[in-house]
Amino acid sequence: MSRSLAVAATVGAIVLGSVGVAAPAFAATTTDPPKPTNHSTLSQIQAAAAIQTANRITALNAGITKVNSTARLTAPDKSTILGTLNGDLSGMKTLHSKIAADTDATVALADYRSIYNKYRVYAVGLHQSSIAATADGLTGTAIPKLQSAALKISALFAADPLKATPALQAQLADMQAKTADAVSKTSGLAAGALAVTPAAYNANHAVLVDLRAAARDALADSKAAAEDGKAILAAIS
Amino acid sequence: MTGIRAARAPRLVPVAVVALILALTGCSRLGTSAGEAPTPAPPAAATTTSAPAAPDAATLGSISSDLGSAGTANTEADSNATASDQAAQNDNG
Repeated sequence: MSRSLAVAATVGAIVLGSVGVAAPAFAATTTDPPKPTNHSTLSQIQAAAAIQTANRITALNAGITKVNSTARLTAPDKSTILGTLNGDLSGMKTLHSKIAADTDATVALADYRSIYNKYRVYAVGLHQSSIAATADGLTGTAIPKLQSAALKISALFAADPLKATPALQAQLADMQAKTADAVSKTSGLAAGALAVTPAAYNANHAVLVDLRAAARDALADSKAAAEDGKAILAAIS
Repeated sequence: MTGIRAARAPRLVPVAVVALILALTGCSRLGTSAGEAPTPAPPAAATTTSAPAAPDAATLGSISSDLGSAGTANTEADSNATASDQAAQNDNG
């Protein structure tokens, strides 16, 4: 299997797994078609295209199912993601049929390349969806809950200063600081990720790099804040 | 003389008994008058420092619930972030 095809299959499986659906069957059952070139025959192009479009159709269907069932995404983000994924799904189905019916290798090859250049199902559609889901999960649930817990701990410390040892006060301050960092790093993150288009990705393959890093950093802050909270709770219980 | 002493002794005994009763009941103290209750002694608790109140179970449970929800959301976010990391390896998909 060529590197690009292997990576695509792996990413598809992992992205789907992350949103709670089984890995697509293609990961284990697809054959290893050569990547079409200008010298490929029509049948070779059609065979490769059939697999690539089928892989994406499977991944998109699974992703759409999961997005429909998730409670973490905000309603506007869910709507945006479903619009993208359903648009990609329609496009893949159209290409699947069109390439199968193509009678000219040059036309078929152009259609094949549009699977990538026009849609970027894995690199953009599913990728940006996972970043947005990360961000929304933090901003919609994790961060508000951490802020709520910190407020309650602060109130307990105020009511009973003897419990507010310097060590616990420092841990609470760290919890609050980490939560504030997570708030800052997730500000506009989902919207930024969902604004990326295949064209933007074609122009700059690193267009999602900073956004993905911000999501990772915010998640690390949120995890650290939660650990602070747990340690404080254990100490005062 | 002997006759006089013998005549007074019976009257001294009731007086002594009444004095003893007044002493024991506190009614003999200065400033106490009829209808006025004796000043109570200060309660023992007023002279001690109360122990810090333990956080109530409901508050601790609420904090625990908040942290549990945050942890669950973090776990899900981690899964999606991992997917993003893997997607980043796909340079053409």
